[in-house]
Amino acid sequence: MPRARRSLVAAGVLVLLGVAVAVVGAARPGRAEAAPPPWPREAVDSAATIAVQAQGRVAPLYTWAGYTLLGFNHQRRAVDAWGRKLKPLDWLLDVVLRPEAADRTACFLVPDDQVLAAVGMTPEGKKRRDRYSYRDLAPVRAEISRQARAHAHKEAVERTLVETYLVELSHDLLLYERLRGFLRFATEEIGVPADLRPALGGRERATMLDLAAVPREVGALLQRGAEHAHAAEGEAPAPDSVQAAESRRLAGAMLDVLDDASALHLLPPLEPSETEWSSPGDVLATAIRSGTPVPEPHAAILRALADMGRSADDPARLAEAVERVRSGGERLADARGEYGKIRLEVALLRWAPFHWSLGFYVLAFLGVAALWFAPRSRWLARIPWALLLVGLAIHVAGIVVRCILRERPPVSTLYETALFITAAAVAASLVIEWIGRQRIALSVAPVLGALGLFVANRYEILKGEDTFPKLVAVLDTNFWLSVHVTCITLGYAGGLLASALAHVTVLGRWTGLKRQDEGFYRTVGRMTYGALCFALLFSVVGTILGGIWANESWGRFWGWDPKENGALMIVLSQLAILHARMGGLLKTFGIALAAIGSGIIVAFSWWGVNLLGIGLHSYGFTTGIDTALKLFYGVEGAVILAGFVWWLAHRGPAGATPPPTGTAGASSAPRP
Amino acid sequence: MSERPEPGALRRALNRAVAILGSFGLAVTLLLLLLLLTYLGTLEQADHTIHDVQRKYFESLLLVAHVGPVPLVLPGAYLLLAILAVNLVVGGVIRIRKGRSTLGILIAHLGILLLVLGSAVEHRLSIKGQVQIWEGKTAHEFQSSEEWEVAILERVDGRVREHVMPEQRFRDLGPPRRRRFAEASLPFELTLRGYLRNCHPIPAGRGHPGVDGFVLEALEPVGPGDRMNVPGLQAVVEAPVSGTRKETLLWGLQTEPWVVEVAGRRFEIDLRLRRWPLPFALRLDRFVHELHPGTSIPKEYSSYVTKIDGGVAQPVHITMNAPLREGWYVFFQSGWGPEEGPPGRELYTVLSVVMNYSDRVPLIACIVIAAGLLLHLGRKLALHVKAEVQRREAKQGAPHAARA
Repeated sequence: MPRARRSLVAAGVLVLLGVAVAVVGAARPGRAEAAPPPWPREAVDSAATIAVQAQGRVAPLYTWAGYTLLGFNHQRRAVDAWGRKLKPLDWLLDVVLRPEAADRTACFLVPDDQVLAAVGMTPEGKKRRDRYSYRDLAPVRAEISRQARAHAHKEAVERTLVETYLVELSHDLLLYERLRGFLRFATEEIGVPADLRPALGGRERATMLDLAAVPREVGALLQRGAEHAHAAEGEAPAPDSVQAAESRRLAGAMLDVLDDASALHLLPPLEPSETEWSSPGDVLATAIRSGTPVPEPHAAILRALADMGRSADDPARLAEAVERVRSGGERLADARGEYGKIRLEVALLRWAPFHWSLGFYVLAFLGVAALWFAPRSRWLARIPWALLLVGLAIHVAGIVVRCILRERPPVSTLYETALFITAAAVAASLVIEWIGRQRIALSVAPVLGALGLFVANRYEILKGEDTFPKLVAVLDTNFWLSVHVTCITLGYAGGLLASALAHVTVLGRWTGLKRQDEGFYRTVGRMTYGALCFALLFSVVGTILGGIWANESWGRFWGWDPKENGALMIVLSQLAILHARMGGLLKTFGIALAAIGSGIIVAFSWWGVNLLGIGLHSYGFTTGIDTALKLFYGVEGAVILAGFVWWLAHRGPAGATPPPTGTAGASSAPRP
Repeated sequence: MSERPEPGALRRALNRAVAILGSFGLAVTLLLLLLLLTYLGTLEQADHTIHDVQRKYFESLLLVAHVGPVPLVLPGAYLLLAILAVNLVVGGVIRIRKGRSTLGILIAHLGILLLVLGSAVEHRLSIKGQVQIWEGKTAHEFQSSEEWEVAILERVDGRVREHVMPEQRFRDLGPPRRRRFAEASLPFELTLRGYLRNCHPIPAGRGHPGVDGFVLEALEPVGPGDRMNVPGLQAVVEAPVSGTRKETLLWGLQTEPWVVEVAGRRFEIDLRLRRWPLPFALRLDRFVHELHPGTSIPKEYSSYVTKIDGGVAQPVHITMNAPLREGWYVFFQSGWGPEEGPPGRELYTVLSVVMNYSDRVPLIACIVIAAGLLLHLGRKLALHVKAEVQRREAKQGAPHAARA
């Protein structure tokens, strides 16, 4: 091809590429615009350790931003209009400092488009379950709010799923709007009534922060407006109606700004006896109401917040302002002894130990899988051991740090029980493996570890709430949480481990694994039995301790409450299995099937009773996990059924089931 | 005429019966049936009150449960637990092989029996009630929240003489039954009749003259433990000497007692929740109700009370999970009020009061059971570890032996 012709073709290709880029750019509005620069790392790092009070506790802003975004978006990241994945703090800074950009970030998960259909919106190009930006939802914002108000007064059980989603979406939008207006008290100027201008140096417009600098004058003006309003009610003449109208307009504008400024409670109280932290809106309102200026320690933080609001485009100034907000809060919180664990909490959340553990458990499983292909390799056998130990060490370290942060035993919430039970099950598997060295428990441990942490992770996402919540008064006892809940959850761990080991027997028999090796199945059977004994010990003791705790709290030992019944069902199922074994009514295979059944009961007691929505143990109610739970019941039921069918097909003297081993009371009839 | 069985056959039958009563098969069957009852009783709480469910499943001998549309006749928990107790004694204590290998099991079984015994003592002998005390006020008695009594009070020189008939003595007096109560110190006989467990008074209609123009209309009872039930009955006072005869309706929610004068003495007759004297006086000094800051999550409910016993005053702090224990009595923080009102208003506390001779038995039983299980399972674990070590050593030794 001649050179000129080649050049022509190349130029043509370039033009076509250019057109294609332009078309794609035009099809994705926003990308043609320059993306705003990312927030400076110094500012983000400082913001992470700003202390805020929320849900009754003092937490780092890092945590607050994380679960707020998780609650909105069901994940700890949001994709902005330029396709960038924002972490929670970057997103929060966007909302507060660059609301126009944040409005285009898809940070609201709508789980069912029926929610939008209900408010008259027909989204195009979206999936049934999809994410939307504030700008997407703005046209139907008023209708969402109207319908949510209508449904909010209904009992939760009376609402349809769509109505529940609608109420939640409205709640999220309201919080979002307050966050995007959080700094308006320092950045947005409102008209100053003529009477007030002399006090403000003749200014016609001023921010709420400026107005709070002359609180007595503002208070007096508002008071005059209120008095006039009262006079109007009494049909008295209104000689100063213009002033009164201005006063009322000012009051309305101030209330609007103050409401938004109440989204974050980041000002520690100055009085040691007070426990409730204030928002900028609170202290500004107090200043106006009392006619006294905002106390200097709080005023300094408000000025720093104002500087933050004005320096969104100046990275150095922004970082300095954020640091002033942080350090100002730290000084006050530290004096109250409320800042000590902020950095540790941020470190824990940034470190994300449970994600690391999950990774190690998955790698350990791959290591175990590799062993299947090279079973005689000694050094290969050490890899899953090492991976499991590292994974477990990180897992336990994460739990320990949580205990230090909460000053509680590791089992005070449903989320924490998932972490604890998983660690206990993995540890127990490793102990069994260490005793038996059969590589059976070694295979089960990573599966249990990964599944358990996956469940914990999904539950955290589903709840979208702080995982360090304050406990209600009746649970506020470390002694009983330590002895009763720990015992019960160890019982759960043992029951689930027994069930997992029983799967090896049932699925192994089904698939013909080690068909000629009866010793293998006897070993697994012994392990299952051992796990059941471990489970029974802790289930029995934990259940009775629960009764004793109930007696201490409510004055009755047993009340047939669903959670109590769940614990009793576990005990009864395990007692039935062990007595059936002692009586020779069940043998290895039958015990395996029964242990899987007992595992279903553990799941019912742990999660299922919470879905009934009844009872005194109402600290763990959860919606949205019923599908997963039913799936678990279904799969496990199918495994039991499959096992039973296998037993029917193979029973008899020549079957795989070994004959009774001389147990007293054993019957000569074939037993599973 | 049936032939009498030979002594040998009788003994064999008895042995067979004892063997069945103490068998593993029976134990497993009972445990599984209890499991089923507990499961059904848990699910049914979604649609019925816990008290209804408790009465149907856990305080019954037989019941009909519906699994979908299918009716299922099942033994109730009372029956199952009674048989299980027999099974435990026969199989788990008497017939069990005694030795080192079963010592732990035997101890655990004895612990369970102790727990059952404690529950029986509590069920039969405990008294449960509550006391409401306003700040600054002192309480001398507590009352049941579900058990009633008819009280005859006579106030003489500032003192009150009480004659009390607990509910057990008139609970069976549904129409048309009646019962007469007389005491030597009273100048009249009291006849009670027409007891209704849950009712309300309505104006009498045609054909039902009623008493003072009212009759009691029966309502569907709402469960034994439910405080929604308000009983009522008819009371007749007859003094044979003076020929006085007066009658009235007594209803649980009446605000004033019925006042009768007989032989120049004035008596108040009242149907009220059953009351018992406290072993000492309790004064509420202060009630504290705290929420976690900025939330509606309760942080603390605390009653700061003074215990006054024989003129000796002792400050006591009663809060959640920290009851006051004194003798056989335990006082638990149970409620408070009024919830609505301005800050700083006067508050009252509600303390649950339990008099229970077996209060500490569950804890002792728990320790015994745990010790038994630890002993048994620990021994089994030790044997298992030993066997595994031997197996591994044998396995490691085998190739060496082969090589040798």
